[in-house]
Amino acid sequence: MKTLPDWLWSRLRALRERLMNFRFRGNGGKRVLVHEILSMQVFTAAIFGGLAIASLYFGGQWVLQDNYSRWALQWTEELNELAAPLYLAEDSEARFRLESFVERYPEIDRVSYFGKDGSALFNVGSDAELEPVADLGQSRLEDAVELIGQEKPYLLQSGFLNPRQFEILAPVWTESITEDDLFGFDANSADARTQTHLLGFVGIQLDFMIFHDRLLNNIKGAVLVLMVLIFVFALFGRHVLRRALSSISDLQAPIQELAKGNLGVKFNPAEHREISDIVEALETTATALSERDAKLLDMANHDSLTSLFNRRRFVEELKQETIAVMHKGHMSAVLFVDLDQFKYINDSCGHQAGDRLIRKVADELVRSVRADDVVARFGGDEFAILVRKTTINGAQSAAETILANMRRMAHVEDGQVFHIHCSIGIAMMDGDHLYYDDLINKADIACRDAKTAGRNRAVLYAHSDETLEQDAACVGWVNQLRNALDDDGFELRFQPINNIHTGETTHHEVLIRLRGEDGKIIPPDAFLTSAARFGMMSEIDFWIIENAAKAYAHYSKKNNPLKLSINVSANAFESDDLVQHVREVLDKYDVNPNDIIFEITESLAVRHPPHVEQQISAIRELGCEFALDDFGTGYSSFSYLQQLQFDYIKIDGTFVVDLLNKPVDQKMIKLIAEIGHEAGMKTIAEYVQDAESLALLEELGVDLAQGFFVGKPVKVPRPKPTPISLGYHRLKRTHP
Amino acid sequence: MVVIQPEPEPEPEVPAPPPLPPVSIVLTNSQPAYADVARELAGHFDNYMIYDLGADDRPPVSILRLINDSDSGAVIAIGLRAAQSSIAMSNHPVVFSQVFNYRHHNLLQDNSRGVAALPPIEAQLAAWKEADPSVRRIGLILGEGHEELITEAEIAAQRHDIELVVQVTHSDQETLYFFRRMVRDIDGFWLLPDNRVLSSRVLQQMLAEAKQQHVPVSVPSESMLSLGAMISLTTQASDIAATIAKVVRMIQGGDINSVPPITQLSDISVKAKSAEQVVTR
Repeated sequence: MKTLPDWLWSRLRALRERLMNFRFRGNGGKRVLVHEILSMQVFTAAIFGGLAIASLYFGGQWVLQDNYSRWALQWTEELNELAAPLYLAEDSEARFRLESFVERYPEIDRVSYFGKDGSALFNVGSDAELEPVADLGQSRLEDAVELIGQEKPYLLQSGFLNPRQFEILAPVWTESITEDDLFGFDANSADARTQTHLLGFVGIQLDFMIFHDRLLNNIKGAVLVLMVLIFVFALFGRHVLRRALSSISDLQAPIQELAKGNLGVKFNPAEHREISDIVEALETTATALSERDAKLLDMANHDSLTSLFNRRRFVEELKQETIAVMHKGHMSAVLFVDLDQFKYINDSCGHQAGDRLIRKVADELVRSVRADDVVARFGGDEFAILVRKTTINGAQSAAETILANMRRMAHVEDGQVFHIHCSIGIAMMDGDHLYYDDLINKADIACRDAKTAGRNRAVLYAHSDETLEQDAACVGWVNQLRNALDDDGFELRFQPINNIHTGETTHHEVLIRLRGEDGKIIPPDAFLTSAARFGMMSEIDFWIIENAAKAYAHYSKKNNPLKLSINVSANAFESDDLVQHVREVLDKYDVNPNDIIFEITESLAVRHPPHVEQQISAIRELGCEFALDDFGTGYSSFSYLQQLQFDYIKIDGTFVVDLLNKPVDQKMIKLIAEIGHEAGMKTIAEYVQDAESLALLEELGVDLAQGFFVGKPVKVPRPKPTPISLGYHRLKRTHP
Repeated sequence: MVVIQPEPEPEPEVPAPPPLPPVSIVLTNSQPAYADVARELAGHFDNYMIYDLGADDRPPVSILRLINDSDSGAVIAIGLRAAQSSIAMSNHPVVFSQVFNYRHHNLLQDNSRGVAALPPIEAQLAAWKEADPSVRRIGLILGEGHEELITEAEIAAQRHDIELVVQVTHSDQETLYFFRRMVRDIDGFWLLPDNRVLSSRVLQQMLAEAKQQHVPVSVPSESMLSLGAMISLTTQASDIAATIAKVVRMIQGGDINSVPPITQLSDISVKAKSAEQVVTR
């Protein structure tokens, strides 16, 4: 069982715990400064007020107790006087006087008289009849007798917890001067000659409830006044605090606006010096953020080289225009512009010369179109132009103007004069052709047609029967691809890539297959074009990354970890979520990032160097490696190799397919291998079909090989050594 | 001090008194009120023996046995203790004095007679009226057993055009209680030496409150003047001694039963605090 101190201590600890956890919370569960300061003040005031009231109560009690004692003494003396005749003469008038006296004082509950032997005689008082009085005990009797002649001749009993009730017991006695002494009465020695005569005892029950209640009422009044004062104090304090802290409160709304991204928010000037400094700092921060935001927005929307819109912003403008076309019914056009001699200038005069040319072309294009038309650079030497509110003739006229201006333009570089021509593809936007990605593709196709037709011309995309069929087929693919993404209708294959010297598998390239409705496996060439056209490539890339990681988790072994090479398209790099997605997937399947290689195409690297560079850097920081795919077919700018820091170079299969018969391809491969080695990269040869090619590739300095001879794509990634053929050894001997 | 001497009255022709027998004088103690009387008695008796119970080491019974064995013709007891002892144990007639509550103590026996402890009531009121003519209403508080005295006082008061407010009490506290009730309605308070209803505390309180209320108090002892009383009306030792001698002579001369139980005094000594005058009658 708990003792009282234990119980009190536990209650105090609980109270302290609650106070520690107690906080005024505003909307949103946040602490409110005004409330906390105010509550602290009110709490302190309440504590001091409570102490004052407690002091008032106990002080009042003490004063009352003192008064009770005085009254008790006085009444005892008076009752003693009144009682003597009752004992001596049985005077009825004395009884009446006694009752009158008791009636005069409502505090006297009862007066009881006892005989000399302590026997109860009679009671007087308000509740005298209610309860008979017991005789006095011997010990009390003796104690009372001792009091005769004392200064305070009574026994007073009062309870600590019930201080308003008293019980008094006093002896009743008479005094007289000895007769012989009265004739020569000497005031100075009279006491010595006094003789006493015990008559009996008087017991008095006093109840000072009326005073106690009055005190309590006063205390209640004081508590009420205190509470009102505290309430007024709280209201006043709240007002004063709010006023004092209004400078901080005023900051709340602008800061919230700032947090929402409204960098143009205005701060009211603060009256207080401290807050003024904060406001100044916030304004500086907002300005800096605004500038940075503008810069980021500019970077996100513009091509860093030409300051033209980039592909992303162009697509946005195109979307807006499709809405305008849909609502207003006019036509607009997308022009895809590709420079004809750029590669030559870039390769011969260097990367910086290429950049200068691009800037010049950009200026020329802007000058060639109307002010509300949009010119964008897609990367490399590709530009796109949105010609608003035009017709087919208007679009063709705009293209002709561009062609004419470009023909007139001459670019001087290192004393050489270059005349730049371009090929332009035109795709019209009307009520039936509003899909922006499709429009760009169509313009791109038309541009390629223009190049095929001899360059330096403009070609309008035509909806031939063949293209219509392709479009129809594309729509079918879209549905199938969507279902495959939703239902995991893709499958992965793993093709080994082996060390050309040892024949051992170093890693596998992850390849995607589509499971057709009839259960047949469809190769990627059949559906990836449509996926790219309809903007589904990034989703497919993400699917491949996730499922490759899943396969890694399933097949990789501790002593022989799997290493996978995953193809990533340009669309995936356009997504800002790529890095985050890779990080999450690697974490989810506990994949060692060192075991993952991402392959990107040369065209992607060349078209989007700054953006791709950032993405590659971020993924490299995770620990992954990168391979440059299909190297040698397109732009083949070796400067990109250093700029993007690849780990592998995959030599395009066109150089390998007929390697044995093409000395130029052999020299090209050897050159790439040498440059790769110089740059610290390993080279991979694709499409290795036979042992002879493999042997020759080894001699040319290639490090790794991939192809049907090395290993076909399989469902389960397993190391597969390169087969050794007799021809291999012969070739080694005969070839220098 | 001014001594007022009343007009001398013509003295009747009386025969010479017979010689007094030897007497034994027993004192309760040697306080002045008793010793003065004893000293005065010496002038009235040729042959006497004085016994002081307060000073003598012997118990009263031994002293009384000694007296009984002597040729003493009477015992003169001064004070209550001396009277009680003498009356209880003496074989000789006893004349007691300086005892106020003689009835209460049952001192009047066949062989005992007393001398009043107070000056004549009539003389007291006359002297008070003379000292303070404005006094009209006098309060008097006494214990039981003084009905004759009260009657005599009321008659005397009436004669002096004074209203006497009398209250009989039973204890000192009751005395104080009644005093407090009457003190606002009286012009003076007459304090008589009834020790049964007076205690030192009550006596002092009464005198203090009377002074506070400007009510003059007459006291039976000069020593009480220092407590605040205005006037003292006291007996004279010579008068007491002469009266005792007279009673002894009467007892000696005839049947004790012919002697009145209490013989009144004839003189009074008045001492007023304001005028400080002494009146002897």
